[in-house]
Amino acid sequence: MEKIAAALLLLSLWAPLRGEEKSPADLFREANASYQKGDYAAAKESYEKLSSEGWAGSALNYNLGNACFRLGQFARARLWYERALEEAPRDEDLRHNRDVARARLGITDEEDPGVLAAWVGPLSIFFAALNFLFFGLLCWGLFHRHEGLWWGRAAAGVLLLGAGAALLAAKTEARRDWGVAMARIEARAGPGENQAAAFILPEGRRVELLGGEGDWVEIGVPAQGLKGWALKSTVEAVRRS
Amino acid sequence: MKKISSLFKITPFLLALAVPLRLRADEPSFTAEVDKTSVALDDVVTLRVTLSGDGVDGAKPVIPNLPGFRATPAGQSQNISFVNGRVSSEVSYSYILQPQAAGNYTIPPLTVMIGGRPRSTAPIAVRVTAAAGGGTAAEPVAQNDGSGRAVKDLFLTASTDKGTAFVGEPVALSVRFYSRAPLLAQPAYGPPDTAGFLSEDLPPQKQSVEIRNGRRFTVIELKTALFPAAPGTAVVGPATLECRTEDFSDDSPNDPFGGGFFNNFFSGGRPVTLKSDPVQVKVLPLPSAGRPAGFKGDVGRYRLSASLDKTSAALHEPVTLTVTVQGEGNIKALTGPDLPPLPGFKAYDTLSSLNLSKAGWKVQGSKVFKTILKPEVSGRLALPPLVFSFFDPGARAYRTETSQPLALTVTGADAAAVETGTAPLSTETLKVLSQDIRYIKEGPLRRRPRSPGGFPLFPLWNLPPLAGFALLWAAKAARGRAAADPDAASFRRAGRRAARSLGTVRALLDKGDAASATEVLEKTLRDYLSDKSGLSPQGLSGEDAARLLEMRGAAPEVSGETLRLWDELQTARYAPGGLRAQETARHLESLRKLLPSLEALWKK
Repeated sequence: MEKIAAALLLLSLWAPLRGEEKSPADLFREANASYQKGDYAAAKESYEKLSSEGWAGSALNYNLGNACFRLGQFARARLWYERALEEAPRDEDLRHNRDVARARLGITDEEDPGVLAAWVGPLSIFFAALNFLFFGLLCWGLFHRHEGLWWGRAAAGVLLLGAGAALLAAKTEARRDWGVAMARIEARAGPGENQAAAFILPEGRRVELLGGEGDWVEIGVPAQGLKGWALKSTVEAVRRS
Repeated sequence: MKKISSLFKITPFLLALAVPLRLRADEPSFTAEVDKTSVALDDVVTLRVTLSGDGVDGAKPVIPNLPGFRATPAGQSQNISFVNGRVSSEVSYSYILQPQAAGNYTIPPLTVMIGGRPRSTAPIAVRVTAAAGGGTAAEPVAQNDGSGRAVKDLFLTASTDKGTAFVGEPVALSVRFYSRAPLLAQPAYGPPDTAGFLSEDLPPQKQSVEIRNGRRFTVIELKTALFPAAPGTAVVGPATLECRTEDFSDDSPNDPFGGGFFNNFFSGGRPVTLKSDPVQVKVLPLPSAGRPAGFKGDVGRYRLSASLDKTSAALHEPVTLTVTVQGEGNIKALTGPDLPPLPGFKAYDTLSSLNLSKAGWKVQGSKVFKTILKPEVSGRLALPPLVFSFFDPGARAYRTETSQPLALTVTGADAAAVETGTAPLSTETLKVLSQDIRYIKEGPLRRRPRSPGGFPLFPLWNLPPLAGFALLWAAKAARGRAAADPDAASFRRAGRRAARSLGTVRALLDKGDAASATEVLEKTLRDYLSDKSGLSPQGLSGEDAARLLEMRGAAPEVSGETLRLWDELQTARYAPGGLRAQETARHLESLRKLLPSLEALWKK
């Protein structure tokens, strides 16, 4: 009995000695409160801590982008907005903030990559529904004959093919890897400082990541049909592994 | 590329009096200044010591030993002025300081007693270099007059304080007129061509005495600040001076009325045109490394400040934002900082004014930018800091000055007027005041996002319809085959049908219905053999069964067991009371064990 009481006493003391660890939700609320008070540096630190611990969600990335924006780190803000858009590609507030950050960086000639990528989810649902409809009509047709049924199956089939093609295009687009230039980049023709300079990329610009070799990464600007190599340290990937 | 637009007429007599008059306070002052703080070893520095104010009459400064220099008095000048009924005087003493060796020296404080009190000047640092700096033109041995005769006592030099400068960096041009001979008329000065530079005159002219090669010259110096406009090599053209000097070349030594005397009297002396050598300045482009994003080309050393004329205002009441850029450089050409987005304010055009100073022969001063702002929302409005970037040629680096943030408290419309309905109707329309980011979100946290594709378990959603259709189609095909060849269908189904039927027998036995169980058991065997043989079950006999088994090559034990079972079940079918449950159960097991062997017969 005495041993049990001693063990319980020790346990009750251990938790306070260990220190209260904040839950991720509490840390997130605390970060939001810091932001609301105008302490953007503290808010950014808390958001980054959550992100480094493996937490994500479009709200976290969006808020982290806002904190970076308020601290004048427009390229980094843009990076976090792009990461948030990976999860919520049709969020209007995200798109607005990303566009404002882009404007602050002076980027006016950048095209959005494939609008289709933002519609993978709805297209998937649409495809599944058409799939059920089409095969449902086929099954019905096994046991019943009706001219209208034939037209219905034909229409459903055509729509299913169309939705399938759109979904495939959207998924292909969504799988492309993107990055954001964290500094002014002098892209080279090959991976090395001795390679000829190919083009200049301003800070904050989005680039497609095409591959890598050593400390270098191959980047592309599809809208202008440009490809070059940049140091990995100057580009941060939107999608993190 | 502005030429100095006016010709200077230099009158030595006027120059002697060209000491700037100062309105003097009652308090006496004692100052010392030099015409240059960096001098070559073969050049001289003019030290000018000035006493002004009440009580300076009779005071004379004591010049101590100046380390590094040999000092020679070069005269004094006095100025008396009457201002508001008060008499004040200023006395200046000039000294020529000839450097003795290269190095850094300090002219120590000079002292004088004024009104029984000692007064001292500030120490002055002077650097002596070994070689002449800047684009100094060599002193001409002789310059020519219009007739080609050499003139040794008059010459004109032009030099700059540096031979290399950045675009926009001030370069001081000094045009010096050296004279040992008296002039018979006012000279006409032609300023040099300064294409490639922006220029700013630096008055006043300086007068000094200089000793060159043991000869004493009166020097009149004109200074101009030049600002190179583009990189490359910029050339300051020659300056010219047309004057007339005494001509005694025709004199006979014994003739007091020699031709020279009459020449000077009647013709006004000998015309002389002096010309300085052109001066080259190498202009460097501003470095691209480290150039701030907001840099607009301003060069110099500046400080930035910003202020509002009020800390609080009513809604729509204009306030003035004053931005001041102060320092050294081409003040006139200053562009000033751009106004950042000012949310909540309507900004009107910016007006600028200039405060230029050329004291110490340097272009300095301030440019003031005033912008009227009208607050359009109430509350505490913040104006973000202004940023101004410039290139500091002294530090050879870009600098960025940031003003302090400002705030304005804006009070809204009169509440009482709103309540009584006497507030004026608003004529405002919807206006976007600023383009800013939207507020943060309270959304949920979750672990790293799902893979691209955005739809979980995509195959799981799409396979079932296809699978369902495939199954139904197979079932329908099977039905079709069965309908086309019922015997074949029965043959294929016989084993499964018999197994299902045995299950029914078991169920009946469990319920205690031995009679029905026996009946179903008998029917099962009959139907099985009928399905396998194609014979009608009603007409199937034991002999048929035996023949069938023999035809299929059944093993004796299989055939025997099957026929035994057939007989017992047939007997039980027609015998009153049928079989007991135990017997039926035994037969059931026998048939269950027999079925695989029978199935095998028809697979051969």
